[in-house]
Amino acid sequence: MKGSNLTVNRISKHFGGVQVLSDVSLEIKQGELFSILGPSGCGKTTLLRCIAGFETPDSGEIFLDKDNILSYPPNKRHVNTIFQSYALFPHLSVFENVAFPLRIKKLSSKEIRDEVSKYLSMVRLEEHHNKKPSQLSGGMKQRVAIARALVNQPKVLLLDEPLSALDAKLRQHMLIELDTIHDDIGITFIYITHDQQEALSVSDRIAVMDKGVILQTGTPSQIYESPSNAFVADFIGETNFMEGKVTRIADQNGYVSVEGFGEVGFYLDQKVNVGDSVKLTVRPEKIRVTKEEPRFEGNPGDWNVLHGSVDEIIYTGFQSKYFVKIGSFQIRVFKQHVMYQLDETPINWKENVYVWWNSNDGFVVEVEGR
Amino acid sequence: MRKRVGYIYTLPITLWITFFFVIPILIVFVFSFMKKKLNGGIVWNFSFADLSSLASGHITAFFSKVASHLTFDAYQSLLHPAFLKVVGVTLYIALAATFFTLLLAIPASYYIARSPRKNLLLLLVIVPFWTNLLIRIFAWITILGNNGFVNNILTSLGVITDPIQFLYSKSAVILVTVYTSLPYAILPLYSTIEKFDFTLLEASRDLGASNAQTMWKVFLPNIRVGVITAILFTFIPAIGSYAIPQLIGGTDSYMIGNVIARELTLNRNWPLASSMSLILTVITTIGIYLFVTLNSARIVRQESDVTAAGRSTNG
Repeated sequence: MKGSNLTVNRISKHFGGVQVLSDVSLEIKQGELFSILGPSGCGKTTLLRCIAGFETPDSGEIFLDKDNILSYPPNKRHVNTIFQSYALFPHLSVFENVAFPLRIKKLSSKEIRDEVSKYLSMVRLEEHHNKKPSQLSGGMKQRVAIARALVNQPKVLLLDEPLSALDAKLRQHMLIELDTIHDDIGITFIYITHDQQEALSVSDRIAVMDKGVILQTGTPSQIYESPSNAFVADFIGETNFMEGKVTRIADQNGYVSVEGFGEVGFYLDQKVNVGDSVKLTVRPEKIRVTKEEPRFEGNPGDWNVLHGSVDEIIYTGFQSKYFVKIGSFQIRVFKQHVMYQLDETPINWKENVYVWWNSNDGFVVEVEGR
Repeated sequence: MRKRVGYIYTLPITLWITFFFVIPILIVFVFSFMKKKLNGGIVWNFSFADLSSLASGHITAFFSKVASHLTFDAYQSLLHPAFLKVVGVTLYIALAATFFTLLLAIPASYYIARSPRKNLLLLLVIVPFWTNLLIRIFAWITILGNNGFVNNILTSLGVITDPIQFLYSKSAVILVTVYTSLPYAILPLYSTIEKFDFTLLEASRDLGASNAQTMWKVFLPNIRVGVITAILFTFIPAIGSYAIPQLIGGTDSYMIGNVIARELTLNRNWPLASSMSLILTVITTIGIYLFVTLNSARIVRQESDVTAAGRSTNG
């Protein structure tokens, strides 16, 4: 099975007075697992429905390889969808659900049997072929939906929040299963989700969307480690924001005076000028928290050290989240527990601590007036 | 103890059905084998003396008296070609009306179920019930009559010079039957379609089916319960129809109901009217029985097809 390139070229769509998609463009490569990530109402489902053929965009084009598919009805697009609610046909058995597209194509009954059993065994459901969807568990329904969408050998598979109806444990399991299926058959997957963990863990590339606009497209680590703006930084994972005016610029670092913090260094990944009001972000796991004052070899100017008191501790097993109060500001620090209770002196509520991070881990996500 | 409570709960409806359904049907059944009296009613000479003769052992005497009252006259006259033709016309009108009612009711119910103003539309479906059936039938006479609304418009537009004879035909009876049946078909269809998951239609299109294939293979099978109910709610009243063919129909659209009324009132032949009623009941019952069992058999067969296919796959 071969996937196709899918190009979305400047798609816009509005419903009533609401602009749901504005000038959205994407280039999805053959065989990619591409995620479209955004909060609910960001337009990601509408974009998927435009690709599947259930909505017609107001303007723009969608190409499957070199073919503009916008004029084709959904049944002629070589694109199949896994629906959020699975949309299994309740009046048909598992076997007949998967056989449905093949019966439409009028394949011989031998071909249908062979193909259906091939895909049912791929999702490990041969035993359940004559059950009705109502007799299946959530995970099994999901697997029927996968088999049914793939039996048609689509060039692109669209997945609309496919795991949202499953419980947390099963979701992890199905995610790995989907990833394995993607690796095995190698067609293009477009994965719609609002869950950043899902998107980060399986995607080759991610597009982050909000209010009908694509904010950033990149690999999971690009999206996480260098979000292009404050929304992306905030939406993907957790983060700290600090605001202030740029005081000086030296080599690859800039310095901002943040109220209550003093001067904080950051990595210069975009051009800023002295005097600009900027928003910085630092990921909580990049920050360390200790009771003892840290000592540095080399240039202490590369490090930001602040002193405050612990407001709140959230223990989650593999890590603890500390909320440290510095002046009127609260900073989040995640600490991984790498050794059972021995990693260092335990930190308790209300204790005075040092929080510190390397200047290169902070960067600007917003410059006022830009 | 608990079992007895169940009997108490069902007692009112049991009594109701016994007195107003089972006993009348038995009376009709008995009457249909009796001899007619000249001005209505039947010949009935039984008395308690006959029962006491049975009790005192004169069994043959009793049964010979019963036999002397029995007759198959009524059933013989049912075989008359004129009556068989009425049965044919009745079936034709009822089936055609059911067909056209469904043809209109399914899209209408679909539209109502998907409309944001479904409550208003449902109300409009129910509005005709606020007026008496006879008045609504007379309204159709003023619409379709030679001096009626439709003919007047066509004449004033110059489409026709002489009025078209719409009334007093099978088509007119079918038209008005469809009109009266529509709410009874739309309501059960609506309640089924309203529960239907419309993403199934998109899933079907996504998997390669055309719009027509989606209707036949996904939509209709999933609203079966509503379709079956709508068919029964349309067909049963239509086959026993009396007022509509009486007022709208002509001599060629006489239905069983009209013949029964004529035998009962004009010809005063109660046994014949009873036998016709019985035949009508039998036709309806057999029809419904076949329809419902064939439908459930189809489901079973589909399932066993799948089982067979699956078995050979595994082997």
